[in-house]
Amino acid sequence: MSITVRDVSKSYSARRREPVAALRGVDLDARDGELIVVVGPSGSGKTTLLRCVAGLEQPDSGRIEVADRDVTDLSPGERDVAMVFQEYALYPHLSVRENIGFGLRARKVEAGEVETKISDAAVLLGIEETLDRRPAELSGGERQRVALARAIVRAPAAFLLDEPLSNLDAELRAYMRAEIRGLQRRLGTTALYVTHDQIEALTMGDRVAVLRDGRVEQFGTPEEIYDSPASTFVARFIGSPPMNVVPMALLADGDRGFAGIRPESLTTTAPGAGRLSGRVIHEDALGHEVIVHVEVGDEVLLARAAKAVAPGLHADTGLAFADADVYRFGADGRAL
Amino acid sequence: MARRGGSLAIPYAIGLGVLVGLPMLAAIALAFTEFTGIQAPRFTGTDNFSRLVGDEAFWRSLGNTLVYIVIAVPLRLVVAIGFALLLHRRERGIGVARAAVYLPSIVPDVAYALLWLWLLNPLYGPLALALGSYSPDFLSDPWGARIGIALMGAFQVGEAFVIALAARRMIPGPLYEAAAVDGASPWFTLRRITLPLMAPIMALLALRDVILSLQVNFVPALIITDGGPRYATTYLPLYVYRTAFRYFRFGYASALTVSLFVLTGIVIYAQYRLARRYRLI
Repeated sequence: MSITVRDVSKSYSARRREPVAALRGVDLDARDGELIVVVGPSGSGKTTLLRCVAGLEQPDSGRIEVADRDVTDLSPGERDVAMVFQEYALYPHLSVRENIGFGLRARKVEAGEVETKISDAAVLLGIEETLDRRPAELSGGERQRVALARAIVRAPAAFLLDEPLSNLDAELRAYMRAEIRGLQRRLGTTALYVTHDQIEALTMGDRVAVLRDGRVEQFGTPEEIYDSPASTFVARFIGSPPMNVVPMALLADGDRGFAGIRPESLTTTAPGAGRLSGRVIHEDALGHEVIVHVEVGDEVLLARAAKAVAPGLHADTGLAFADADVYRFGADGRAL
Repeated sequence: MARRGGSLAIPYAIGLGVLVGLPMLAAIALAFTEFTGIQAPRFTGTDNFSRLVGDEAFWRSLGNTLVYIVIAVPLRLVVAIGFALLLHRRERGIGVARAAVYLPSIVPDVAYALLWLWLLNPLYGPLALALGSYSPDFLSDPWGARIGIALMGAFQVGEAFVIALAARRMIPGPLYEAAAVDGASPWFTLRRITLPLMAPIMALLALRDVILSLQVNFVPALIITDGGPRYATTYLPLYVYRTAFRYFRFGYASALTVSLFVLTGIVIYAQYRLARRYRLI
């Protein structure tokens, strides 16, 4: 089942203040069974977009389709979508069993069928033991699974996930990333997944939409986004550490626009041996490697270096790179 | 710091002792005496309490009080929670509406009772004129009077309304959004989310209202119905008042007061247990 978002705009107005545009003509489509990650910094409009698709916000203009059905003016319950909220939104007074079955009971599904579906969902998520507990008695990971079980139990046309892993610790987050992706693939349900974490975006998405100030800056596969960023914004936002974006003249021919190079494409060399020379002003030691901050003229460039060959703090160093690894952007920040 | 904080409570503690504690002790002491206010109190042991057990008027006024509680408490609770649910959203003009709900609670009791005396008047009261022959006989029929007195209390729900409003606003919005996406109807959401999550506060409000209802009906019963018709609105406070100040039986009135105090104490204890159970205190 596909999701289509066409030219959707949404602004918020507060009393005695100018309206703030949260979405400006957003176009997006998720094909049947795809997981689309919507990524962007805080305030980029990604959660507003998800809420518009869910029906929790009404767009000012544009059109939203779920499973080839225009749902723009339908209530959330009529859209056949399920949502996983950032804070899980589990009903605190209901048991896990009642939480999972809530949507089915609301839709007057027959009691026996409700129980069967709850059991199936619980088995799928591995939470059979917790069915009679309340949300307050569960760990963060278990709550996350209950929220997922509540979403899948209705077999909706699409899943909408709003930063579902942001409350988990790093280890559990990595585990749940794989779990959610695996579950979504197994069920074959189309999903929109909102996150500010670019690692989640790159590892989970079939395609990734990068949002900035309410607009889709780039929409493509993770490889396209990483290898061919459409703008300096995408280049800086995707990748860790981010791409170095400096005035064109520093890395390439030309005096207008910007040039970008990923830290892993810069190699530290003996002083004077590389194409650039600078001094190490800071190091981020990551164990097996070091992120070296090199001051070159007025710019600071980040380079990845193996721990054994890292030049050391305050040392002079050279930087080598291949022309093929240099990205070129115009003065407006768009890729050339 | 804690000691200094405690010392700040001294003026209140003195006031409480002099204005509440001493009269209470005096009432308990008087409950074991015969005292007309003219001669000195005469110790009679537990005579007043023995007489109370066989006093038909006492049981009738206690029964009236319980009837009042049974009618008025659910009514007041439904009104307070109903308004809280209607007016919990931040909308233009909502402050005016909330103030309007609170307003009857700050009208002086006597003025409010006189207003209702007019509203319930069977000849020229607006209710009687509006309902015509369908109008219950609020002041001259026993059940009409009981319902009338309970009805007027249903609009003085300011404090319960504010508490219910706060309780409703404490329920996280995403729960309602999750329910909406789940396809829950407003009625299903009310039954399965709102009311269960407000239940502890509702139970506390109900118990608080029971305590209030043991006393609050004194002014309307005195001014509107004078305890009638046929003693139908002679509630415990009015019976205590008449025993003391119409028949000058201060000792017996004190015994009645002590019985009211014990009744209130039991309700407060239940309230305390409930608050502990739901970790509200």
